[in-house]
Amino acid sequence: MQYKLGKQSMGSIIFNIFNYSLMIFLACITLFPFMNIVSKAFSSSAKIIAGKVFLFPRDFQLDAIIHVLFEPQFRISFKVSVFVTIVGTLLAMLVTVMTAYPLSKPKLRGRKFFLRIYIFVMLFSGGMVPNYLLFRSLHLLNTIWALILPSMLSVFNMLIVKNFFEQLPESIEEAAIIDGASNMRVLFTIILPISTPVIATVSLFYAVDYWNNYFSAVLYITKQNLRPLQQYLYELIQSSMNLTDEMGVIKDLDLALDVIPESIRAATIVVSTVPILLAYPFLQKYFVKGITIGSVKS
Amino acid sequence: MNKNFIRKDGIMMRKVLTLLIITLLVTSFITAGCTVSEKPSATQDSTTEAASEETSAKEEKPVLKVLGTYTSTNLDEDFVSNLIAEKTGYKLEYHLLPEQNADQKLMLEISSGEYYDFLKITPTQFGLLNSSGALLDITDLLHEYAPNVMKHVSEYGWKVTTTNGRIYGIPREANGLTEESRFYGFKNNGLGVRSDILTELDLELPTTMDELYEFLAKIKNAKGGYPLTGSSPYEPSVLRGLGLDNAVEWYDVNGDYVPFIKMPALVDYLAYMQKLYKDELLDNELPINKDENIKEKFINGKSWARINYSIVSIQNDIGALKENNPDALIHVITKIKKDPDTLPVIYDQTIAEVVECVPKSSKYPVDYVKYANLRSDLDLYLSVYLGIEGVSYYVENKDAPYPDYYPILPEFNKYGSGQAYYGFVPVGWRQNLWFARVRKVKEMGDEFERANSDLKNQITLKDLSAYSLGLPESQKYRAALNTYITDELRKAIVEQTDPQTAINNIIKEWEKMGGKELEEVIQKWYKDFK
Repeated sequence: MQYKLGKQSMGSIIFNIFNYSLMIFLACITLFPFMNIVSKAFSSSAKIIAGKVFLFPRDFQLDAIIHVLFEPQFRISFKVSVFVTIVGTLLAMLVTVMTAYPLSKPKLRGRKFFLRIYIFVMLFSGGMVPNYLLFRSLHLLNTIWALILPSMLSVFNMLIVKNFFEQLPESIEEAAIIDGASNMRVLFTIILPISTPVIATVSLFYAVDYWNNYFSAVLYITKQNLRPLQQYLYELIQSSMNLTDEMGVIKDLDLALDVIPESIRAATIVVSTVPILLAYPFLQKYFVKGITIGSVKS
Repeated sequence: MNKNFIRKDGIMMRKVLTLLIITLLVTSFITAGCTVSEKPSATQDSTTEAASEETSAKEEKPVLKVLGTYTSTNLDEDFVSNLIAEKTGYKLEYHLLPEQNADQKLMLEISSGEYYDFLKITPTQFGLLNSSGALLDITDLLHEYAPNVMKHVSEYGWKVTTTNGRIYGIPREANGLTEESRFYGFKNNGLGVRSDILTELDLELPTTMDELYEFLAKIKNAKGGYPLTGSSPYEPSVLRGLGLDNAVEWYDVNGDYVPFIKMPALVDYLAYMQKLYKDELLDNELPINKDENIKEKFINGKSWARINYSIVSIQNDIGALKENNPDALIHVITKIKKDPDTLPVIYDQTIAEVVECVPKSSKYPVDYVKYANLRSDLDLYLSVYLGIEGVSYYVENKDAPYPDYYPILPEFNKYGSGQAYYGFVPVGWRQNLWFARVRKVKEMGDEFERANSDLKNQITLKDLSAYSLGLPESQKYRAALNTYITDELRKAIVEQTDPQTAINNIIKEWEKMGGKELEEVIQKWYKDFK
């Protein structure tokens, strides 16, 4: 009995060693594709073409990264994406919180009606062409706002925030109101500071959405100066893959001569991952919370 | 409890904020870092627009708003694009279609009445717009303001953009050469072979189909493995030996067009490829090979030859090959004979690559046509396509009808952009200038010369079939039919189905998939076109 409590049995030790090694190995495997891209970004083209780059750079060099940083379209697209992500997330949070707060109050008149409207638009939308025509009439085509406005209120995110607000103790607000605080003041100085888990989660949802947004640009943007990074990346990779037609014939010899080497494609991906990569590890834990936040009502 | 809750979350909030600020700082640092040496940025829309308004006011030339096909080059910053603007005096406001769903996006833009002065689109897209009546008739404007354009576009080119005798667009043609050129009927693709295997095994490049078989068999005996690798079922050199070409989808047989899949010689081709596969001379991973691993096998000496290899790929691959063997070169066999007495057929194919046209919403159609004419001036074209003689290029054989142009590096690299808005010049003349681009890398240029120097041992035929790409039926069926044929031929090589049966089955299905309808339309089109 003592033996078993103090020390683990041999079988159990072997099992643990095996288990841990297997799990560590599996965890590492998930990193392989990423490491492969990073290695390619720092390797010479010759080694990549020869298929000698796998997990670590060969013939270490920074040429590809430097090339990417000085590529005009990359710089422009990077700026557009950073702007859209930061401004878009801030505005989206403002709109979401201000929509969710009143809807979380049972005393709001017509609350159910408004909620149903929101849920309706979450399930059904006007469609692509009417949206395009709407943006055209509002003179929003080829403006930065065409990238920000369409996803400024996600009903799903709003419902998460609303459910969170509903869980907060009513007495805190009542105390503030008795002390003479207005509704806005209650929201911004009392409710928001105690809602950080949901704010962080939903902000991250929005930020990732904005950062990855690609479709709004395809639909509403034709100017190169407003192309976001994801569209640039997608098209960069696609254009090097679609050099030949269905019969294996090179469609455009000039394009084939200008083909972007793999190291530069990899470097573009690596550089464009940096911002989200910096934020992600620190905020990732909120993602888990985000799924469960507001799901249980007491 | 609540106090703790608030305090704890206050700390969390601060943490989150700090992280956000760090991220912000890092990203702005990166963006700022990138902009150090920036010229007046193209993102400053208003300033750029204001500046161009100023210039146009001075020269009374409006800024032309164009919607064009996708390019990853930023045209506002592109050296050649700016040079064209400077030389013609016309500035452009560039708008681009996306890489995917370009046709739908184009239709959306035009049908909603969005204003553009002109469009630069594919012949297929031109076909779509022209059939819906969205384009302006520019016949009279061309006759009045564009003598260069009228002179330079070929008779066939005009047919692509003419409906009921009226012209709705200007085609930019590519590929063709005329008989005076020493590269008449040039080809850029074929069987890629590493030169070091020739030296090592004392072999010569094969010139007939039997020799090719022997050649691969000898490599297999000496080195093992699969000497020939690839993923495409089409090897252009063998096809040319049999009078076919994977770039040519329709063949003139006694005045009628016959589709590629119905050409009797294709059965012989399939049988030959099946034999290579069965005797393990051709990679058994043919159906699953991807470009990357084909390259890898070829560069690392697992295979010594590759199917459907283009001379233009030498520029990227040669560096990697030289690391393994500094003396190695890549040869490309563009044609081989069926037998010692039968000459291979080389198709000199001209295509309409791009069409420029004016939508009805255009504000400055006259200025557009003038702009097209200015760009089509031969001297101006040469100065933006190759740059300045003695600085970015030099000429040999000046007195020949088609002189040889060679690049001077690194200056020539500035002129490398293939995506700028070049004008309309005679197709062979332009093709001849293009050869300077292949000569950018010595090994590529040399191989191009070697592979295309022997014009005696070939029959050169003109091919016009690619002008039909804008037909509605072609848009509807072509891509799917070609994908089907390619997949099925590859399958037939691997599965060793009887060649005649395999091709008969493909034809049956091909006709059901729309091939029959397409064939009828193309037949009729060809009768009118030629």
